Amino acid sequence: MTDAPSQPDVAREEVRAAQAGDLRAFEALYRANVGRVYALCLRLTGNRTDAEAATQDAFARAWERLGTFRGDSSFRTWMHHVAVNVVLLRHRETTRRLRRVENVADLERLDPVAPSVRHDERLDLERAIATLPEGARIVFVLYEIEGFSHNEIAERLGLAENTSKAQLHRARSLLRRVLE
Amino acid sequence: MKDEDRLRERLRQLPREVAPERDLWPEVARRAKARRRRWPLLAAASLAAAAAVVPMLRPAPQAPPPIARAPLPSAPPSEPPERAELPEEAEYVRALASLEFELEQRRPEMPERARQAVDEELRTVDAAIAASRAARIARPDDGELASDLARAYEDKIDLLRETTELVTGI
Repeated sequence: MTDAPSQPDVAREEVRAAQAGDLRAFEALYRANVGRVYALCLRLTGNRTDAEAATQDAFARAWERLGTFRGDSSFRTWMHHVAVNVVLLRHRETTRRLRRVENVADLERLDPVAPSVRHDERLDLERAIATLPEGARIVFVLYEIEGFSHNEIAERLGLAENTSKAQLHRARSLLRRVLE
Repeated sequence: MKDEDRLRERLRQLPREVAPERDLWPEVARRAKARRRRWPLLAAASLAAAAAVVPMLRPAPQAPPPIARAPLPSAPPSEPPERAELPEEAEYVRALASLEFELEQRRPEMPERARQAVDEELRTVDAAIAASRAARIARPDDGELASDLARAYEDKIDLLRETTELVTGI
């Protein structure tokens, strides 16, 4: 039996090659990680179009920043951080724009779930998460699925820690109502 | 509490990976290539500038800073030019005007080789902007085209910013 290189070793080789400018190696890294990055982006953004754009942004950003990856963590973990940062940056930009443009729309988004959605018996958890108001959804996904602490979420989103806790509570309450 | 436990259990069962419904790689590759195309340019500009420009850029002991950040009589207009017909363009056009102004100020101090390389890159990104603009104007309801145009502008902003930083950072 030959000693096949382990998966992390293969990834390390691909990272080194990609850092040297090998786009095919970077594509291999993309293929190995896109499912995870897209799942994260989809849950954070709540819709396919934004998730696709965020995923592309994240990998484009990763390519630009590959030189800063020193291998202290796995590429997968590093890529995950890049993706979270990209989505949160997009969220902050959107929030700024929305604040400038319209405040009324916020009130509509606070309506927990549209009636048509509420009565859909086939609604699954993914879709329920996607219907959460943006702020509550981001906190919920980061805390419950990605394992961030309230302190980390507060820092990344520029919120008070109590606001993060309140958003999580709100998200859970809304989800319970949707999933009942 | 039982509700919360049930919710946590369901969350644990969510898949860690979800495949996108379409292949996102071609766009990532396009952007990566645009960036890579610039690496040799930036490296060349950096080296050439380091070798040839440092003495020229080194200010005299009491010389003013090389770039005037305060408004000057010849500063770029604060309003975007008339060409900005599309609503999403205005901010990009304004940012570009400022960066182009800054680069123009630096242009005489750049080595000829770097100047030519930058000009060639600018022609490429300008062509991409023109093509994206034309497509966007022809199909104003197509959101993808709006994103393409935004990316083309961002490419140009990146190019101008990086080049200026390289020259001014020496």
